[in-house]
Amino acid sequence: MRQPLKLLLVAAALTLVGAVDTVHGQDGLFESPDGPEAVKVYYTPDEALAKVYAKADTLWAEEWVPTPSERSELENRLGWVVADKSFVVHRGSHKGQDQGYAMILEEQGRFKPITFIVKLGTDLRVEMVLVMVYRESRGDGVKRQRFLKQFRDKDGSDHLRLNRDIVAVSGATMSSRALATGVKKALAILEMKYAPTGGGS
Amino acid sequence: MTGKQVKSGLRRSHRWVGAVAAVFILIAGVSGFLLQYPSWLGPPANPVLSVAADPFVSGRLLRGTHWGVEETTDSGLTWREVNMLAAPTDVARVIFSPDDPLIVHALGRHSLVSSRDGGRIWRDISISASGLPPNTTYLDLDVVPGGLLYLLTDGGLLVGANGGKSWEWQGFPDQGSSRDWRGLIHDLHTGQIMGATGRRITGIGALALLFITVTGLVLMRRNGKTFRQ
Repeated sequence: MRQPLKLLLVAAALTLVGAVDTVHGQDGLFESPDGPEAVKVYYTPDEALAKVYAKADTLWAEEWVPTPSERSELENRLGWVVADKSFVVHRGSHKGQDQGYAMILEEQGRFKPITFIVKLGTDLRVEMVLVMVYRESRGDGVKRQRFLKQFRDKDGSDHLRLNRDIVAVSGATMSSRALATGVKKALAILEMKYAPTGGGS
Repeated sequence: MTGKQVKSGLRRSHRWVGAVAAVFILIAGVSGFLLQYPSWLGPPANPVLSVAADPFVSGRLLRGTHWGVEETTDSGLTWREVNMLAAPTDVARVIFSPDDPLIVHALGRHSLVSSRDGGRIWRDISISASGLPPNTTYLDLDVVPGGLLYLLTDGGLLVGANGGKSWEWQGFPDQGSSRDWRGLIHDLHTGQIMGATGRRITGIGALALLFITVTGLVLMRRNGKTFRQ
């Protein structure tokens, strides 16, 4: 009889600690606007490229500097201002056969940017998304494939709206949003550059 | 009234109250479990929260919804979603600038976006002011001639100049109202207060409540006793 009571007391204590932490967090005592520094590197660029191009025997990178008209077209597709002057696309091939396209992107999370890689197949559909660097102490649930696999097979026609097309990780809405935004951006860029009807060169 | 009658009455009322309480436990258990899996409930509703008429184009309106901004060019007969890379959610205000109607602002719960071409291409307006917590909720926005933006947040009133490039508190930030007690109680109920582990515990707890309630009712019947006995 005493054992369940002890368990109940421990659960109540844990809940109280969580409550106090949350209230203090809202007061900004434990979380500065700059955010807690907790950089977690899951993949270096080389490791990430090796993972997404597991079968490739040749890897190379291409830089795309869009012309003003291409930039305007890209902004129209995204409905969003594009600040980047150029984009680096990582390519791979296996025995001369194209293995698709990959981009390493950074998008702002709640406090700090999240670095991740988006790999598209030759059909310009998402094959893989990996979180490479997460810089905050909370919300790194977005690195899990349970969340990231939702992006698989999406293409430029998918809206990738949070909690409609992509279910956000609870407690990591901003990070989920950053990932969804980044994938959508990569799809638009790569589609524009490499789709047969795209305006890229 | 004898002591035996009092005891019997107490037992009967105890059982009835227990049965009524079981209904509440069932509701709390089922709702608590479903709260852990919101995707099972389908997409949330998309209520319209605000509307603004384009002063340049007759019949063109923009409206703010839970999911972002929608546009009509036939005075509201048909609407389409405005394409945005990072659309704000819970758009409480859409407003055309009185200086230049090509400038449009859309205020979401946690973000402010702005367009300089009437709503075709948007950009995020970064709001940074000393003491502004990252989880600030934006409540309302107004724009006055001269380009000043007045932004009401749950932490106080901010004034933005130069199209939102610089922000300052109007008076002191209201620190007291930034505590979200409702959110805290919600997080306590759903276990989100302890993160992913808490949610799992709450899910298991909700299932356990359902299990003991249903098995308790079944066992009560099996033992040949009813609520009246």
